[in-house]
Amino acid sequence: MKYSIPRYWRSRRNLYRLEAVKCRSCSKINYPPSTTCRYCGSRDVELFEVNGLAKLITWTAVYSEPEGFEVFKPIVVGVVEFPECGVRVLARITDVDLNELREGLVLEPILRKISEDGEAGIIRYSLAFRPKMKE
Amino acid sequence: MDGVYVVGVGFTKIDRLFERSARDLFAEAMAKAIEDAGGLKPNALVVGNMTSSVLMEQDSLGALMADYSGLRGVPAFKVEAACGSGGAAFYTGYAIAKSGLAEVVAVGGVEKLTEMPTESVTKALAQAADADYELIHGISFTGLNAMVMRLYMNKYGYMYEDFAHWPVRMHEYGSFNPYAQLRNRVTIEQVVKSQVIADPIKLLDCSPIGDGAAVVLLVRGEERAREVVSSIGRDVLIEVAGVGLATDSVDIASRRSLLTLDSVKLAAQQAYSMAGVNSRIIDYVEVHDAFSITGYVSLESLGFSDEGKSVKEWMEGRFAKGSKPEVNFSGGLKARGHPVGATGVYQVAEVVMQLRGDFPGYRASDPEVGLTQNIGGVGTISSVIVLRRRR
Repeated sequence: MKYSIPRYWRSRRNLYRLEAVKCRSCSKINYPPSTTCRYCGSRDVELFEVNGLAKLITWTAVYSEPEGFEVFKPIVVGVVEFPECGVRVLARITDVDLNELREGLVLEPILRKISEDGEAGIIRYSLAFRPKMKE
Repeated sequence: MDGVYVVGVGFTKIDRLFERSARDLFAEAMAKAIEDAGGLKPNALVVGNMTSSVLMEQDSLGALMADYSGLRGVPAFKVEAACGSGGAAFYTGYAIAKSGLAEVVAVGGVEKLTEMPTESVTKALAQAADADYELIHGISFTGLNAMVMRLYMNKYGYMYEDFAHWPVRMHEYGSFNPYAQLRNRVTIEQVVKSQVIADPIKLLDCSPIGDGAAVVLLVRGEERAREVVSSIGRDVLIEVAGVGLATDSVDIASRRSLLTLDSVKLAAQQAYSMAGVNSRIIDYVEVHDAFSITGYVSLESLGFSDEGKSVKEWMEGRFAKGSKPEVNFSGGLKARGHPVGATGVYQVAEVVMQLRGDFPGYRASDPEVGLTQNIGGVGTISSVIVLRRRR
């Protein structure tokens, strides 16, 4: 087995749920969620769920991939922002043509499989973003 | 308080050195540095390195390098700050020398990158990023820098071609440097037509994967430093006038800005203030151009250009011979090469030689104040060192 199960489990707030924390002392938003505010050091933080749609800030298509990501090539990754709370997330952008990508593209969060770790290991999933489906 | 002086430098040619081990390379750099300082033996060693655990299955690196350099017994340890390991090792070695804890301190860097498949090296280098929140999405280190470049192009209205002037100039300088990994010249057209690695970054925007080692020797006190250099008939003293080191978030999404490297700004403020200088009086600089975009944002974060202006100024010929400052006559990471944890030490050695007037490649115009800037991650941990020539 290549991946630690407890480590993956601890990441669930980020990988499955998209949660952030707000600092009660300085009001700054911390994403990824942390137990100490990264801006002021206060331990008085409050967990909340990030909802809604995000906008694309910048992106890349990776052709020389790190080990383990061969099947996704080119791997499209972007930094997206949720306008209401200001949370910025780095994640894969899926279901998209490369020429559709542009600053401000409206995206919705989804779950996507990353990898299987042999017969007995975990099947890893993670948060990703795709262009918003038409209503 | 007594100042700290660089009294010896040594480094290997950077290349794919399949026949030589990391310890061999380090021993060569150490022997050259000791010879350059008239036989002065160090009694402490700090080694900058990033990937020995992952790619060489080797920890205890400080002890290993001390032993194989003929220094068994001295205090020695590794400092890791990703690609900024060399600069961070220098910062640590400076503190040891300045405190008087050891009389002669060797700061070295070594990296062996070329013997594993590219995907393994790509993964090892990507570990500079946040493992839980960035790597899990399959991003490479080049990819993170590509996102910075895309944003820079969109915000300031540049075309891809505009950035290609960086590698063209670096390859030209590299062609004069016998220690450089890449000594071939390239044209704008070759850069533009090179393979896409992580869009918009292309192959010729990237520093190459290579092996190498570098060492510099530090002593405290002007009198002691004069004694050492005059023993080998040299009349120039190189003082470490200022050092700075600072950090930012590891994940790029939670940065204040993606286009300014705050850690470089902070490190530069510390180093400038310690040296009593500002960016306008620096004559010669070696910056950390891991990718073309990294070179440009580094010049801006160090205060040499306004934000968004460095690419245009570079195209117009600024930072070349006769400019203030002159930049990267070694060929930079782009052409000299980037043996990750050794790079920050190469930079110091090169600036020292430019200030002394004995650099074996393209020479700067008799500089008096020089600067090096070394980055780990995408500006996650950065160091800035100001060196001053004294007669």
